[in-house]
Amino acid sequence: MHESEAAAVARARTGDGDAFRLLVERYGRSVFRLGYRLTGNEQDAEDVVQETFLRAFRQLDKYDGRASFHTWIYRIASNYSLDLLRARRRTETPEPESLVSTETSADRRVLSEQIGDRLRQAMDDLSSQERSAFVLRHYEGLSIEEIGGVLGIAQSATKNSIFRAVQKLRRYLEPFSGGAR
Amino acid sequence: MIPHEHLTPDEMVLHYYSEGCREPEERLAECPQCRAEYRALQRVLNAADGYAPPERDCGFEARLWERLRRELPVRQAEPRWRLHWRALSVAAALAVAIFFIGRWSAPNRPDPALAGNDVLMEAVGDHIDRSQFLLQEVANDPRTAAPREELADLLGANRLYRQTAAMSGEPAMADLLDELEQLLVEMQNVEQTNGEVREMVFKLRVAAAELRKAKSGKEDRL
Ligand SMILES: [Zn+2]
Repeated sequence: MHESEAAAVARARTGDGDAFRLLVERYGRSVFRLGYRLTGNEQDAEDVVQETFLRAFRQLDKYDGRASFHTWIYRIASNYSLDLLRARRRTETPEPESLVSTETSADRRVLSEQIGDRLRQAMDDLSSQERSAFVLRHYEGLSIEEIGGVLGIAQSATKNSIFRAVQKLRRYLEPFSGGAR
Repeated sequence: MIPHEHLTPDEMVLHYYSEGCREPEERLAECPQCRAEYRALQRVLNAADGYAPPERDCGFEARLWERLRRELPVRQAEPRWRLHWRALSVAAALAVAIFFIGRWSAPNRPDPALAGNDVLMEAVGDHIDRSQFLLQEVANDPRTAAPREELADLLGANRLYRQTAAMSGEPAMADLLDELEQLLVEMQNVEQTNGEVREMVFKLRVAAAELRKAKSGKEDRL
């Protein structure tokens, strides 16, 4: 951990808002991105960011500095997202929303939009555990062991969640990702 | 030779995420069918990278903090500490800037096509000096409430340099100037006590000394 970050954590613990603000500014965006990939929509992601930092502040004295602050805050964000997912799973239909594609030619954009739509469908088809395990492995680069720790499940269960997630993604994406099997 | 056993889809997934052992690599190397399967998996997982969250605008952090601040039992931001943290972050940004200025002014700069930026860097260096000088003045003279005209002058110049830096492909410099600008604006808007300013100047001076040391070290190495 950076020295300035350790100092900010220590000050924030004493109730120093400016110090905590530094942490919010440093990690706000990445927590938002994680929340978005886990929940699949912007409002929930905003909710995740806010709740994550509220919880982080209240639990600061439990943070022992063994994991990086980054990992620690991700754990809080993942757990809260998972709660949200479990609570909202299949109670509402996801609103269609086009994925941002900044890439090159029009043809490619159409294709990547198609892939984006399929990707969104595929992600929404994952169970909350499959989705969390996959997002943490694929986008956040956590190891299977770390993911098991975050989700509170065994490594074998973590692996199986990732395998099932990938199987589903293949079903949705393979026709679009070029090259038949 | 051991008869080849095709990799299972799960083994391939572990291999993709570097979670397995080295053995799948050998099996991929010896079997075209496994390789084809693995390429198909790679295409799918690479395509999954496109699941991009929408971008947040530049006011995201400020709005987030506003919402949090209302809910948290944090001490209200005191100007003193706000300045303290701001000065620290300006100092960190300064480190980046001086590093780059050092690189620009080095005689064996790697890319001569970018030499036009030398003029900008020279001028920005002067501007940073002037900014520090102003802060120094305020700190030294207890009767100086706020040198409004000079401050406004510096702000105007700062905006110009910041925009030029951004357009000339100098994002690190543009960021530094942005930081400095916010600090100058804050000085302009908020009546700072001399003590606060003195504290900030001290921190800037320490940072500048560190940077000069780093820069000369850098030049020695070039
Ligand atoms: Zn094979």
